[in-house]
Amino acid sequence: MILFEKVGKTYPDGTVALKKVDLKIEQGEFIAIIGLSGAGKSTLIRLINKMHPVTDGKLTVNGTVVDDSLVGKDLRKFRRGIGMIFQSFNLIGRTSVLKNVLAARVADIPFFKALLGLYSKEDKIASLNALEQLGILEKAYNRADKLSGGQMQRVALARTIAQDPKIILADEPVASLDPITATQVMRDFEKINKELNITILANMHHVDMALKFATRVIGINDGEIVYDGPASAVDNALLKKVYGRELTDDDIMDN
Amino acid sequence: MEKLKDYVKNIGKYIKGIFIPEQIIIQDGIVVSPPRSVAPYVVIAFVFVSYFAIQATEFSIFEVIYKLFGIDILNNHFEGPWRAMTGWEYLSRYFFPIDYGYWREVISPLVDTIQMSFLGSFIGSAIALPVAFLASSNINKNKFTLTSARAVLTIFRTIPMIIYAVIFVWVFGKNVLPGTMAIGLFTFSIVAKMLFEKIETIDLGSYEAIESTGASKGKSIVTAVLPQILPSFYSMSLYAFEINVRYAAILGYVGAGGIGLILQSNMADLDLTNRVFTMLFFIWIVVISIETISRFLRRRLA
Ligand SMILES: Nc1ncnc2c1ncn2[C@@H]1O[C@H](COP(=O)(O)OP(=O)(O)O)[C@@H](O)[C@H]1O
Ligand SMILES: [Mg+2]
Repeated sequence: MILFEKVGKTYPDGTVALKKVDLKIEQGEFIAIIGLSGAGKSTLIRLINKMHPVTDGKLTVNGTVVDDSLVGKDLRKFRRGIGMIFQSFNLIGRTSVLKNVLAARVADIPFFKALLGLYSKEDKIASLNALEQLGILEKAYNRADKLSGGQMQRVALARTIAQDPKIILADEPVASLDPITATQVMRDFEKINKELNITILANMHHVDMALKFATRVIGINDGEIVYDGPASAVDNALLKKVYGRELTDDDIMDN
Repeated sequence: MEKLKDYVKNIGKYIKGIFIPEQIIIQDGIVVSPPRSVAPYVVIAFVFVSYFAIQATEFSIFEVIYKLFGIDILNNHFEGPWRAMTGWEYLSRYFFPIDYGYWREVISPLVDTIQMSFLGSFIGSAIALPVAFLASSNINKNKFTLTSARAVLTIFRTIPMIIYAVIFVWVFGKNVLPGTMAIGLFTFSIVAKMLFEKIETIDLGSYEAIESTGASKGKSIVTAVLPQILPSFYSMSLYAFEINVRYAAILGYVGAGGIGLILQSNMADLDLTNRVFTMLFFIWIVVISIETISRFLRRRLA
């Protein structure tokens, strides 16, 4: 369970990105976070794995309080259970797809093995299984930077699966993909969510994608939660509240 | 004729246009001012510097012609030639014939030179790799170690390789060890510099991704950053090796081992003999071969 209690975030430069956020997320939910660019979506998900530290209130993730005392080994162990997906895929260039997936398990091996890229047989089997689950096993020995965008995001998903997380945080996972590929990648998220009961929190710029796949939608406007409820209850009046204006073509991917 | 007059009249305007680009007025009277270019100032500075450089070195093409061929084109009455023959006679007499049989004596110090260069390049590059990460501002967020690493690199880079060789010969005596160390230090300082500049340009997205899985900073670097820069690193090390083979030939001159040692004994008092040119010939063969191989490997790495 992820619990936000009056959580706020002020960046060192004084920017207030989040104000008094209250949220309760159960294991296995599929949540889309929607809102304008700059609303605070990326900030919200980065607080969860402490890529950015919380500055106000209390955040608890699966029993761990994510505060200033969570550092070093404890922080790394905590992050081990949280996967992360990025808009720009963030694969390691000049290396194979398999090595990219194996990298998710580097946290558990000694440094010298990491330096020499020596992974155990179990690690290799787990990584290849993850690739198989996403239907790109045949690309295992191809170079990751030679794939298409959709394939890259799938490799990133396989990497996250190989990490065996309880939660996946996705920051605009399909924003750089075309509508058809985006739908396919969202289906992969859906499958992972259902089959592995992994909690998914995805920032979505495109409203239609968010409503189609998520079961719960959180709308953010200027650092504040303005909607939190089922995707089925989202209507135009509500979207106007989240976006502060009528929707434009830009806010919808498949049009 | 009218046109020429126009040009003369406007010459001031043209000159001004070189330094201050003319404003362009587009529709609605909107004025667009192009940015000033530094190019004309660079050209002026270059002309000035060249002028003083020529003055300082008393470089005169006519003097060179006179000393090489003994022809005084403008009747300048140059002094010399400083030997009884012209430069050209001197070079052509002693350059050839190349004494191929001399290779028996050359081969061992030449191999020493290559070994020195190889080992020095290898050790220097190996040390450069971790230090380059310390010196990269996008990886190392600790101001103290960052500044120290950069300061060390700047200091090492400022000292010419030959000075290292002199110092190490003084400490360790005349053999290949000081040469290897001098080459190692030089390689370290240039490879680390080139490498940290490369590291600073790479995309850290994958690094962030691996760190988010709970991997330590060190493991994230070797997993996500290292594969991206390794090809450049190998390429830089090979390039350093290429340079080093050439430098290494000179190092022997101060006693740091290798071919330079016999080059020096043969060149005492600037007495050029065909043995010297024979040696140069063999060095040239080695340098060309290594450059060819290195270039081939570097192209494969790109
Ligand atoms: N590292 C940072 N330092 C300072 N301000 C930041 C930083 N990251 C984001 N912000 C600011 O915080 C606000 C929320 O940003 P972000 O969470 O990236 O929004 P979104 O992901 O919804 O586009 C914006 O005003 C942004 O400029
Ligand atoms: Mg964002």
